[in-house]
Amino acid sequence: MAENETMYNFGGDEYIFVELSRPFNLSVNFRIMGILTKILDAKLPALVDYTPGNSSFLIRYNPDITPPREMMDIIRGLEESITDVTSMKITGRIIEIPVLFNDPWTHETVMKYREGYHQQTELSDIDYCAKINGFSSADGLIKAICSAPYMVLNSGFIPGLAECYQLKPEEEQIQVPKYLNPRPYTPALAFSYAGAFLDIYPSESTGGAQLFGMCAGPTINLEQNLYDFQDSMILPKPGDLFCIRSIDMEEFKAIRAKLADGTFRYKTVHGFTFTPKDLMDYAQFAETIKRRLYA
Amino acid sequence: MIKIKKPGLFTTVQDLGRFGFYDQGLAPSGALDPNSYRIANALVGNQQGAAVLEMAYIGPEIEFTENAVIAVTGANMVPKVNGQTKNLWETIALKAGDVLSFKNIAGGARAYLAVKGGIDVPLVMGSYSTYTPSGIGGYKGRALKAGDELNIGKLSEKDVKIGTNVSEKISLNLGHHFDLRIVGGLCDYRLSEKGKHTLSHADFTITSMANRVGYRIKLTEPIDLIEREQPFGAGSSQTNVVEVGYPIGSLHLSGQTQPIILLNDAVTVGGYATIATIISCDLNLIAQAGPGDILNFHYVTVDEAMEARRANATYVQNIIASIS
Repeated sequence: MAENETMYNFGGDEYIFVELSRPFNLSVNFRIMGILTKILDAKLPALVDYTPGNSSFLIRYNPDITPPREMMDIIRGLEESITDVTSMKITGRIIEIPVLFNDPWTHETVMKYREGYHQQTELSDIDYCAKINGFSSADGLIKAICSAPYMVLNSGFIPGLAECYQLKPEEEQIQVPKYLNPRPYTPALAFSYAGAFLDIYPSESTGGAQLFGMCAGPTINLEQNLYDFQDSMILPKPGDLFCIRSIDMEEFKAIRAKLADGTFRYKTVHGFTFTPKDLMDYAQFAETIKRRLYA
Repeated sequence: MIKIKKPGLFTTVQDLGRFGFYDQGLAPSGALDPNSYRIANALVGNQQGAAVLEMAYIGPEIEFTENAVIAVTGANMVPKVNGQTKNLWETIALKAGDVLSFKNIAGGARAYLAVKGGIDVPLVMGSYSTYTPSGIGGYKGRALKAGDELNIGKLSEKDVKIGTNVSEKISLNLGHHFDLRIVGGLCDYRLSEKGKHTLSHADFTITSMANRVGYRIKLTEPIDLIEREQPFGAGSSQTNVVEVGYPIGSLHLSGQTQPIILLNDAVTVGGYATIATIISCDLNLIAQAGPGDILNFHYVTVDEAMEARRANATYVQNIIASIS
């Protein structure tokens, strides 16, 4: 099987899985956005649920309404109708995400789950990941994380999780393995990496990603009392751009105090539109984003 | 009103689930054993879709402050009214002041308590189901606690004769050995022939990590994978793939000797290779399996899965049709 061959598979009797590529690449992800828009626009009566993966998508359907093979043909037709996505318009927000790296809470979690969970038992996740990515210390890794924006690919796993990819050339991507066995516990708002992807855990959960720090602000707000959550209890949406800023404990505590009294607001630029073509020059794109956010 | 005197081990309000939010990471939730859920509602004359209580392993103790009609289905968790033993799978009348409790579970894992009219909780995003990982839906987004007071709703559509009993028509495996049918995929291209053989021949034991999110299961030999150079973005372990959506009922390889089966409160996306998916009608079975129980998997085609689906639907419809 060629690594970029589109592969169709059934998941039991209620799911269809379409994997466009084994490796991740951003243009495949844009194509998935286009295909899913087309599938939703088609208003298929059998469609129950769907979710994008990073280089695939999953459809849940009612096979009593449309039988499996017929449904697969319909999805295939819609998938094949999307070809060139370089000029596809993507509209999202630019949001600054303040992060306390090397925080005491994720550090304690990380050191608790070594033997039987992690690749090695000596180093913390952030030190281990800095090392395998060729950085002399965690500071180099943090600098790389803050140097270019991330795009939200999907909001899967549990509600509010932000799965993001840094808008940088492939050879500059940070890449880390997932835990050998997932941890039974991850603190809420842990900032983490798995594969080539940034994950922000919205709430306490299990998890197999490497933990680097803690986000000061939330990605889910069930009460919807915060400004940024008035329209949706979930912050991340595919196409949003996240700019990570490293903060210290003092600023972290100040933000958490604002959260407690309901006055916290993310620094945000709304309605930012770009096309995949704009990503031909990553460095320039990163500059544009920074200018818009800090103008 | 019903008053929870003792909550049981993990008692939650459930219906058939909350759909349309999987892309936002929100699992459907809903009764893990929908067959028993449907039959419970039918026995009290409720509309399908009414909320019931799902009771895992240890039943609650509940005081009814008004007359009520109830039914208990699913696991062998025998109901008692004021200490007096009643039948499972039967329409039971309660008087105001009656206390419902349960005997120790004697088979299976989850029982369903339907109350005529349904459990009245707010409809959240189209469903009454509780999704406890994020605290969404059901009663305050959580499992019930002592002291909780729940109202009875108005979702009954007919009167069922008290004493109606369908237990003789029920075929439900409440043993310790379960045969489950699977369809290969999503990423079963990662399995070698040896790995597929292991998956369909080995005994899998359910570990103590077993809840509504999923069951971690274990086997003694590793499931063999086709060795590959890991694709960009997947992570370096051979069990890692670039993140995929996880179906309910899917088996993923978070470790080659400890796969996880995802159930209705599943994580929606993840980066471990998904090697097979349990067919939807067999999820009723696994809902009644618990720690220490043995699972065997059997490959079927999607056409055979559809045949099994239709047979299960007919089985449930016939039972419901027999209730008058």
